[in-house]
Amino acid sequence: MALLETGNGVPGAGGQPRGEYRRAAAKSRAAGPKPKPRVALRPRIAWRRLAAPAWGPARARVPRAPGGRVTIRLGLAQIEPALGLPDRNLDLHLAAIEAARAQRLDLLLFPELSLTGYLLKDLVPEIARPWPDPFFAPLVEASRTLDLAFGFVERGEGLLSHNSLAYLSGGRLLHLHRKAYLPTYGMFDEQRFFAAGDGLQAFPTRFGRLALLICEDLWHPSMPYLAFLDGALGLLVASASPLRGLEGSAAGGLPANAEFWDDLLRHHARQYAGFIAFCNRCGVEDGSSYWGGSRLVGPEGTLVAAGPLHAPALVSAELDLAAVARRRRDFALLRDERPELVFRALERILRRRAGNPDAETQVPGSVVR
Amino acid sequence: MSGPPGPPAAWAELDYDLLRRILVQFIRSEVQRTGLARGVLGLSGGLDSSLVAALAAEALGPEQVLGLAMPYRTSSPESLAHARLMVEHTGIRFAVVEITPMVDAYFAGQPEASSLRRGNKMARERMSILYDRSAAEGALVLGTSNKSEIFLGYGTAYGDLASAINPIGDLFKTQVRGLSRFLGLPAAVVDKPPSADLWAGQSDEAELGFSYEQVDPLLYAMLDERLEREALLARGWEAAFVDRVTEMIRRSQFKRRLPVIAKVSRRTADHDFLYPRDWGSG
Repeated sequence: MALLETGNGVPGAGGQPRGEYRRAAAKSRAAGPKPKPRVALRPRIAWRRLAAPAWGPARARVPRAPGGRVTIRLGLAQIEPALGLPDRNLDLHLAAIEAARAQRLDLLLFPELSLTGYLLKDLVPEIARPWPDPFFAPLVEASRTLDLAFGFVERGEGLLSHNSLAYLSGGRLLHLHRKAYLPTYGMFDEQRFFAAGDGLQAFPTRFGRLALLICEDLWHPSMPYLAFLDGALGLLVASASPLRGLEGSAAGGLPANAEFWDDLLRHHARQYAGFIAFCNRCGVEDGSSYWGGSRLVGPEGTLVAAGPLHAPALVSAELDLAAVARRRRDFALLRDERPELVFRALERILRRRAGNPDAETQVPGSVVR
Repeated sequence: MSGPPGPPAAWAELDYDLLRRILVQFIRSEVQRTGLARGVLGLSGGLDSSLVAALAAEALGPEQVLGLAMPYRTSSPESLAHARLMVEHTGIRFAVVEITPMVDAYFAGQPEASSLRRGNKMARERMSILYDRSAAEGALVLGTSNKSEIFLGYGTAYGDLASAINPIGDLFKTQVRGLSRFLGLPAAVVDKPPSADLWAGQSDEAELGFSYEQVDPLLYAMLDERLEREALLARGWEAAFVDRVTEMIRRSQFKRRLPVIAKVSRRTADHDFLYPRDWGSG
């Protein structure tokens, strides 16, 4: 699968079909009709395993940043947003943008809900803004020369409030992601105040195809899986992660949930051979201390840069996008991934969870009583 | 009454420097976001208030912190001496307000009043003085109750449990001691037996019937690890100890909540009027 051909969509999933896929389809037709699935699937898809592209990894193209570079200078604005004070936070954003410009960065990622603060509770509907809104004008303007990703409370259709992350480039909104997994356990209570987003989609940028995730999104394996399957070279993850559990920290380790984050980031980057930029906020809200520690992880799972714990910082590093291509050439798990298998299995699992006994008998070798 | 044998648990061996930074940032942030710059606390000479004084001095600057010793006539002179020791150690401002006249005046006609009633009255007398001084100072009242006390219910509602912000309310007593040692607080304060000092010779551990070293591992297993009774017994705790502590936690739940309000309107304070406490304070 041509996941390295970023910026054009994954062939067969909305992008332009390529010769190799047409040839694969012809081969499949020549092999004769396939047996019908025992249970009709919706939507109907002619399932087949796509052949590996003939052009091979050696010819994989890496998108080039302006000026022909294959590197991206990425910044993580580890700020301390003020709770419920968007005007003050907008100033924080503009100051970070100035600092990023001084470092000649290409892309600046802010934390989750960076324009509003996190523990908003009943303030959520009061502080929500639709997109577009004149409030965002300074950020839209700033994005003409510096790509920006920042968080805010979005007033969506039907006046629903979403925990959203916007990606701006060239003076316009390129993509908006609504947090799909809203944690409502322990110290979290998001589903009471936000409506969940319904999807995840990678999108083309001037640096190649990227995907946006918000905090808890990354804790659910489906989200990085879908993002990378959708052709993302890398993930931008915005977070407002409060510290929990200092156990084990005496040995120089991170606090418990920070260590979990570190594991997740490195695992997913390595698993999918993509980079992950993780920007976590710092500061205190209602007694919760956000631990900062923003991270940039390379496609081999190596930590490229890390922000300080519990302090504001502009974390930046230059990332070699060709490393993604090299890693995927040597480590072809993503190429060999079988989404059609996943789709079929999910369809069956959903049927079983809905109480359909037939769903237990669809897999060869499964025990039937 | 003792916990299962073994080396100190990981939760007792924290990165105390990281913990110090978090708590200092908490105090600074929560005080300053209200537009104030000062803190006031009851400085008893005990470990908890000594630690809060040290953290507050670092967070706000020692001159911005006022420690109040509020002895009753039966309080130990050693407590006052230790409070003065902490003042020298931290450089915070200090004042002594005797509560004997007001407490004795109140109980003048009630010689039968129990030690418990008298102790609670003293704690609430101190709270009322702290809040009055906080208004005079333009300061926030800094709480000094630790997690062990809070969950065992070993504190007086609207007395020593009252505060505007509490930096150490999520630390078990043994962790309070660990952080205090890390910060280099005077050994005379760190190593003495814990006491609420409500009457002569009082000791927390004599009153509770167990030590914090005994109960904190159990509290951690119950509260943080959420182990069921069977799992606690399997780890080696005696059933009577587990049941007693469980009952102490259950019976003191009311002290950890705001007063319950009869709900008759469409939106009730603290139930579904859910704004953050730090709302709009920056």
